[in-house]
Amino acid sequence: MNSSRSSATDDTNAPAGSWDWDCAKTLVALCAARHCAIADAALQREAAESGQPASALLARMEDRYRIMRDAIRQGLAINTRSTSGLSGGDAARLQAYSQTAAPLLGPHLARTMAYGFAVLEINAQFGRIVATPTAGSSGIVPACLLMLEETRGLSEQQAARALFTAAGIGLVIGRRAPFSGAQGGCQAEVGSASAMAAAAIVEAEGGTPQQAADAAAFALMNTLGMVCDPIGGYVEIPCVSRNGMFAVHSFLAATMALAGIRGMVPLDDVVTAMRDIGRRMPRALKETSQAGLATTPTGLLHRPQPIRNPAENIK
Amino acid sequence: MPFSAFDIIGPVMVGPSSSHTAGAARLGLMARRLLGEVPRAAAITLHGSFAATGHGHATDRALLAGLLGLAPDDASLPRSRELAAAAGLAFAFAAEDMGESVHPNTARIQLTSSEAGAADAPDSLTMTGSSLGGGVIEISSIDGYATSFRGDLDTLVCWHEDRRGFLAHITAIVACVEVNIAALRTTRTGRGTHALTVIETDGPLPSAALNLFAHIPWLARLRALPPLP
Repeated sequence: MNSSRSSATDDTNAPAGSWDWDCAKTLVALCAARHCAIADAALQREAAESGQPASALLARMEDRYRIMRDAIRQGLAINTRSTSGLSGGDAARLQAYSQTAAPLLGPHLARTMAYGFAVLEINAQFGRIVATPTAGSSGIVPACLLMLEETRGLSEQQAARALFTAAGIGLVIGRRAPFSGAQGGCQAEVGSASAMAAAAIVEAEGGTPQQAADAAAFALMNTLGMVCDPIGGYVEIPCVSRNGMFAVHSFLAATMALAGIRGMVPLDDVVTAMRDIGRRMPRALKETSQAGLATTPTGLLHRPQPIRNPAENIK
Repeated sequence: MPFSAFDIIGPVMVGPSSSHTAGAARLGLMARRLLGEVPRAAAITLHGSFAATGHGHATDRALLAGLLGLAPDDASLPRSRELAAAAGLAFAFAAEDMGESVHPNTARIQLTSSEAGAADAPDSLTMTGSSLGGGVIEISSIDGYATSFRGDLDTLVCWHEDRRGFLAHITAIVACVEVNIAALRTTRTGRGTHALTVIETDGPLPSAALNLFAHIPWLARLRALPPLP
């Protein structure tokens, strides 16, 4: 099915509506046929769907990148705990550590983590973020892109293109699997975000669409089985640290692909596996805080509170 | 259902959860738009993860923010309980297990309008919707009629009598203004009784077209809703 589809897209002047894909294989074939990156394919698809010019869409995406960067900057400045008391100030600690004389594995590791932490810390404090693809996973892609801006000179426009790469991979995942922790566990949130970021890094570094898809597969494969068991029902533990650590993970997956390692299991298969694992996961481990970390002795100190009616509110 | 790149890289929202906060705000906003005015009272029933972990995710505040007309990225969302009190909106939350087959992030919102009996305003509205993840929502029921739409396109919601030719009237008007219909669904309580038709279009209808709808005798109420923020 995929080969017939890809041959149908050989004509680069094909009607706009044909800029679409339902799986990574089709996406990579489409990019090969049109000699373009995943970023271009995602941009052209959006232009075809929305009827808006590519320049306007890129500008809109640049705007989102700036919101992401603001969230990181605000998160790094946090020195108070969140309302729940479960998070706050750790992004700043990582940032400070990254600036010491000899941080482990160099300054980039701790700083990447700091950026991922920062977005989730500001998220926990009801700050403004861009859900990528969800709020609980909103730190990973921004952390990776800001690192690329600082270490590789990525411009805002290139960051916007990288976000279209991420969206292209997100579409591959979202067509067949959920993004929400409530439906698919944390693998659906953090796993998807990490896969999207890994592909974005690869293309920003000049890798091919196939390498980008492989990087996404590596990242997602390594998150399979991750449950959503937040303590107290708050998007804080383990979410904050997962965003920091899995931003680093995206760089690892991208590094593998850029080194020329080919994916044994293609992204499409990994997505299917993620969906199936999510379906088999009991509801207690899907954002209900009824198992896992949430019901450890420590977790039980912060039981989810029911939503109260105003009459019951105690001032 | 095609996703937009801006659904995947987005929405821009106030934290902490796209499902529980941004999705909930959109559900509230949709309910308010369906009612057509500021509600006087809201009874909100939460199911599944909404009920279990909604407090920590500010689901209640997000739903109320939507009912007050706030967008998911409005910085005042966390203060919506206070804002609701100031606006004279009475509200109550309850939890209910709606069953395993119901999406885990589902809310049933029952609204009472501020001016019962006002022109074109219903006394009440009941909407059930789910937050599918990433801020994407799906409305599954309005006033007991099963439906399915996401509010991401321009949407016409028609409460009407189930009469022969009704859809021909509607689609003729839409065709005349050259707006493309993306999806259309009619649900009725029984043959020849009452029905609800939801039409999603690729773009807004001009007001001239909306005025023509008023001439369709079987149309009880119409809402023309722009895409949700």
